[in-house]
Amino acid sequence: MLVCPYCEHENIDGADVCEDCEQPLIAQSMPRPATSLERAIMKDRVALLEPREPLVVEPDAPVSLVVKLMHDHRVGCAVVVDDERHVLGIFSERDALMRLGADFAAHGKQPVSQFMTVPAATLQNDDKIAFALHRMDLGGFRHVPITDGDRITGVISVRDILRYLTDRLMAIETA
Amino acid sequence: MDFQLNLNTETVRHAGLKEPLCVPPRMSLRDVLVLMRQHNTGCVLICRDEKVAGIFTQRDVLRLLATEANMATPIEDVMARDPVTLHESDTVATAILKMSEGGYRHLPVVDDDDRPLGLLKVRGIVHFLVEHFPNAIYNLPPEPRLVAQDREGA
Repeated sequence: MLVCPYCEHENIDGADVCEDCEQPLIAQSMPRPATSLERAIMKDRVALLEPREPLVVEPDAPVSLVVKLMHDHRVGCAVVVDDERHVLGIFSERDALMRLGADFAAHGKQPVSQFMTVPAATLQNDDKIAFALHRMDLGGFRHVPITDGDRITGVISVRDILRYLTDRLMAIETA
Repeated sequence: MDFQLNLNTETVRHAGLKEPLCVPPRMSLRDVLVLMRQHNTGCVLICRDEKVAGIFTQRDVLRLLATEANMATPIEDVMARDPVTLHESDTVATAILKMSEGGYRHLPVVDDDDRPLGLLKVRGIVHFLVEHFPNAIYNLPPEPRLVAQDREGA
């Protein structure tokens, strides 16, 4: 039995890559010892972050209404979807500031689709947390919609990742 | 030597501190919004006598847009006063805990006299983690569900 040093999946002897996390297992590329936190982010999946119910809006919703809904729901982003819940784009606090800002009053009646970010980077519930971190870092995203196939099911924010890391750090310290 | 990530010894200086954008307390909300857009930043510090008096972020912007705030309001009336701050010697772990507890995404780093030295963004933390988990992250396939089926060159 060959135990993957990253995700602790038990592979058959002689496997080149881990069946579960796809990390190489051959001797010369055997990874340096990973920290327990590093192992955790390779093993745990996005579902563990408990993605919250997304605020979804139609593309022709007036942007002033979307901003009010975000404020009322206390969320940092709205996911713009079509009538089959396919993700069309995402409208975040940042878009409100950078694309509207002081001109908000003048543009409030225009549809949110004019100000949203497309295409929205999405993740799935069974993606590794390491991958979610990478996605957020590359794109500089604070929020990522979670989809099942191409339908929206939830949204995670960088805050969920911080909470996850904090829980793991505490667990390691008290271990 | 093997690199072991130690969030408890690396200080916030290693997590990519940004030069903070500082504005005076009497600046109008409108002027601050224009400035944030020009500098492409989601956070400004409000400084009085070179000391950090408050912080104003894109979350506050959303609240003010949603409630149709008067754009002529001085920023000091709508900023968050006496923000949670970090010192240069604080560790990355401390920063993560403070951000997570308070739900903050920006923490000013100040000296002993509350003068701003830098701004730590949550993005800096994410990037720090990605850089320091090289095995876990850089070895991932570019798409999580896309795996090479054949060896290259085979």
